[in-house]
Amino acid sequence: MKTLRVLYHLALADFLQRARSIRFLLTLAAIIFMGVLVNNGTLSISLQPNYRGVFNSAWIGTMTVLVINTSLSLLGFYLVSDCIQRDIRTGVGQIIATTPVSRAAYLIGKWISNCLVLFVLVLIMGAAAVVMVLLQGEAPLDLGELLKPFFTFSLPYMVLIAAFAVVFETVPWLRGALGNVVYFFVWIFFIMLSLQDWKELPFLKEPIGYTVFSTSIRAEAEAAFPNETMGMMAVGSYATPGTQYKIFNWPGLDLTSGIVIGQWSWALLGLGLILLSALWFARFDPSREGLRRPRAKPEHAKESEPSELRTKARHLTLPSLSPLVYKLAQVNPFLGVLFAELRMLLKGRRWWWWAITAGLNIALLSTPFSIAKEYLLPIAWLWLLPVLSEMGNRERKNNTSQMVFSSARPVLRQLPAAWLAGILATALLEFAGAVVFLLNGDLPGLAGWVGAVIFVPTLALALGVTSSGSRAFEVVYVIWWYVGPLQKTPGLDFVSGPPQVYLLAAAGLLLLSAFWRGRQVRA
Amino acid sequence: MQPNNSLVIETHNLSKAYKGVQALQDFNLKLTPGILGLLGPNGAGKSTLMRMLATITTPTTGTILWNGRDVVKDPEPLRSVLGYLPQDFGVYPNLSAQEFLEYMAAIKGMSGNKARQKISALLDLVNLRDAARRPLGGYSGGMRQRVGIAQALLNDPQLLIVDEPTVGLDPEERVRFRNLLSDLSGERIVILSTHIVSDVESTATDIAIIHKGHLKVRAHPEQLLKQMDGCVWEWMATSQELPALKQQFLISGTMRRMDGIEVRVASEARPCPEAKQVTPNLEDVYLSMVAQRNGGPV
Repeated sequence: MKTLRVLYHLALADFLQRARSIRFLLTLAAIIFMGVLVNNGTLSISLQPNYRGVFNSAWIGTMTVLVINTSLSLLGFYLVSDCIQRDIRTGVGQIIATTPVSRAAYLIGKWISNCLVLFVLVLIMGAAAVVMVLLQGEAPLDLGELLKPFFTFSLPYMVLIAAFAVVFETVPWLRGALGNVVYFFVWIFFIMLSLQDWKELPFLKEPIGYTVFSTSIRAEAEAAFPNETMGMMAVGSYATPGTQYKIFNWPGLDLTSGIVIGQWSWALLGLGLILLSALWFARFDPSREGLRRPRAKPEHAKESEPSELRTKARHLTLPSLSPLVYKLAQVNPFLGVLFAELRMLLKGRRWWWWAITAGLNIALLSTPFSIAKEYLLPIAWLWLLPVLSEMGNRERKNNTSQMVFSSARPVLRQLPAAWLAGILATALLEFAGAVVFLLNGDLPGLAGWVGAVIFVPTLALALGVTSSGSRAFEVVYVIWWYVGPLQKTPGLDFVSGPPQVYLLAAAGLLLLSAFWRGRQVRA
Repeated sequence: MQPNNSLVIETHNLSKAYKGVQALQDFNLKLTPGILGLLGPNGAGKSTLMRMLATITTPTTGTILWNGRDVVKDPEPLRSVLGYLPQDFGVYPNLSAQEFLEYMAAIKGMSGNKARQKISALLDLVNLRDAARRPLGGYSGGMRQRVGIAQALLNDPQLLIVDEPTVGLDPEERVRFRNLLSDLSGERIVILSTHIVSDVESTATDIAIIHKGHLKVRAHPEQLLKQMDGCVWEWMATSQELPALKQQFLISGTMRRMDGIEVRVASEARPCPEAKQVTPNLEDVYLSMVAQRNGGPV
C-alpha cells in the first residue's frame, strides 16, 4: 500500500510538472496536427500501388496506430526522456536521495509518468480516429474495432518507449547528445525489425505491429482482388491527389490471445529493463555521476594546536583591476568575443574525442573518393553534433544568461560571434571534406560543403536560442542527417544539395536567432 | 522537552576522494541531540560530509553509524528519520507548494492523513499558507527556501541536516528560522552548515570547524570564546591607515564612525597603545582559526 502511494505521487508530481509546461502544450498541438494529417489522408496506409481498405473503424484505427507507432516511438522518446535529468537539474534529486524511496520505486514512478504522457498523446490520436470515422462516413463507428489496435499495439509499445527513456537516463553518458543519437539507431533497428519475416517466432511479434497488420490486410486484399500483384504495405505515405484506389473491406484483425500476450510482453520487457537499470542507477550520488566537478585539490595542512598562535603576517596585494580585456579584444572587441566563443565550443573535449576527430579526417583523406563521400563524410557530419548542440543554449544551461545578456551588445556582438565561432569550429573539424572535394576537382561538392558549414551551425544556433536547450537541435539534426546526407534524399542532403538554398535558409535562421535573442535580452 | 539521548550519529575515519581529490580525510565525529554548527571555508569538505551523512554519497573509506547501525551498508533506517535541506536545492516550478510537499511526504513514506496534517502545520510555520496553491516557479528565493525548510521537517526528522538554510531569507524570517531550530534541537540532532557565523552563534550548542577535509576544532561555543578571551581589540583608525593594518593584523570587523574607522582585530598581543580589549565573538574565533590554518596573521 505504501509503495503504491509512493508510486502514485512520484508519477503524479512528475506528470503534473510536465503537463503544465508550454512544451507539453506544443506537443499536444503537434499531435493534433498529426491527427489532422491522418484525417485528410496525408498520412495513411495502403498496399502498393493503389489498394486501400474501406474507411471503417478497424482500418482507421489501424492506420492511426501504425502512424503513432512509427512516429511517436521516436518523438515520444525525446519528449519524455527528461524526468531524471529534471531532478538533477532542479536539485530535487538530492532530496529524493535522502528519502527511503528505493531505486526501483523511483524509476518505476518515473516510468509510469512517462507512460501517462505518452498515453495522453495516444488518447488524442484515438479521439482523432473517432472523428475521422465519422467524417469519412464510409462505415458506421464501431468503437471496439477502432480501439482494439490501440490497446493491443500502441499502448504496450509506448510502455516500452517510456522504459527506454528512463533506462537511457540512468546511464550518465546516454543522457545527452550521444543518447539521443543512440536512441535514433535503436528506433531504426525497430523499424527494420518490423520489416523482417517473423514467421520463425510465432509468439513474439515485432512491437510496431506492421507484420501482423500487413499479413491480415494483404490476405483480405488478395481475396478481394485475386490474380493482382500487390506491393508491400506503406505507412505514412503521401497520397497523391486524384489517386484511384481499389477499395476492399478489411473487417479488422482477428485478435488472438497469443497476439495480445505477445504485444504486451514488450511492455513486460520494459518493466524488466527498468528493474535492471535500478542496479546501476547512481541515485544522484555526485561522486558516481559526475554531477559536480571536483574542487581544487586541498593541500594537506600542517597540524597544529589551535592555541598555537602565529604572528607571521600574510602580505596581500590587490591585483590590478584594469585593463580587463585580452590583447585580442583590445585590437577589436568582436575578435575578443569570437575567440572566447570558439574556445568555449572546443574546450573540455576528452582526448578520445579529438583522437576520433583526427582519425575521421585522416580516413577521409586516405580513402577512395567514392567511399569517403558515401560513408565517411556523413559520419564526420554526425560526429559534430555534441559541439554544435551547445550553440545558443549555453547561457541557459550554465545559468549565465543574466551576466551575458547584461553585457555590451549581446545581440549585435555576442550572438554573431557565437555564430561565427560555430562556423569556424565546423570548418576546422570538417576540413578534410573540403580538401577531398578540392583534390578530386568536385567543385559542386565543395560548394555544398561550404553551404553545409554555414547552414548546420546556424540551424544549431537558431534551435538552441529558440528552444533554450540542446535537444531540439539534436533530434532535428539526427533525423535530417539520416534522411539527408546518409540516405541522400533529394533536397534534404545539406552536404551535397544546392548550397544557395541552404545559405538562404541560414540567413533566415540567423535573423530568427537575433530576433529571439533580442526578446530574451529584453525579457 | 527532554533530549532524546538514545540518538547518536558517529563517523569513524571517514574519508572521501573524488577522482583522486581528497575532499574529506579521517573524519571522526560523534553527535547526540543538539545543534552542531558546522563552519569552514569554501571547499573545506562541509558539503561532502553532509552528503555522506545524508546517505547521498558513500564514503571512500570509513563508517557512519546511526544508533550503532552502519548507514553505508543499510541506509534505510536513517533515511526514514532524516530531514535534509541542501544548499542548492530546487523545486518543480509547475507544482504548487502544497503539491510539492504532498509529493515529498509520499516519497518519505508518510501516510495520506498524517501528511496532510503535517503539511498544513508546516505551511503555517514557514508562513506560506496564502501562497500554498501558487506555482513554485513564481516564488521568490526566500519563499522557495521556506518550502525547502518545510520539506526537511515533513517527517519530523530525528536527524536534521541543513546547509545554508537562511540564505535568501529576510531578517524577520531568519530570526524565525533560528528560533525554530533552537526549539527543534532538544529532541533531535541538527547539523547546521553556514557561513553566517551569527546564525551559529545564536543557535549552536556545539561547533565544529572543518578545514581542508580535516576536523580542526570541535568544542562548545563557550570554550572557543574563552580561548580567545583577551585576544580581541578595538580602536579608532583613519582610512589611510586601514590598508596597512589589513596587512599587519587579522581584522575581524570595521565600522565607520564620525571620527574615523573602528577597527576590530584578533591578536595575542596589544596591536597598538590605544587598542582596548573587547569581548570576543564567534566570528573572531572562526576567522582567527582559519587564518592560523592559512598561515595568516593573528
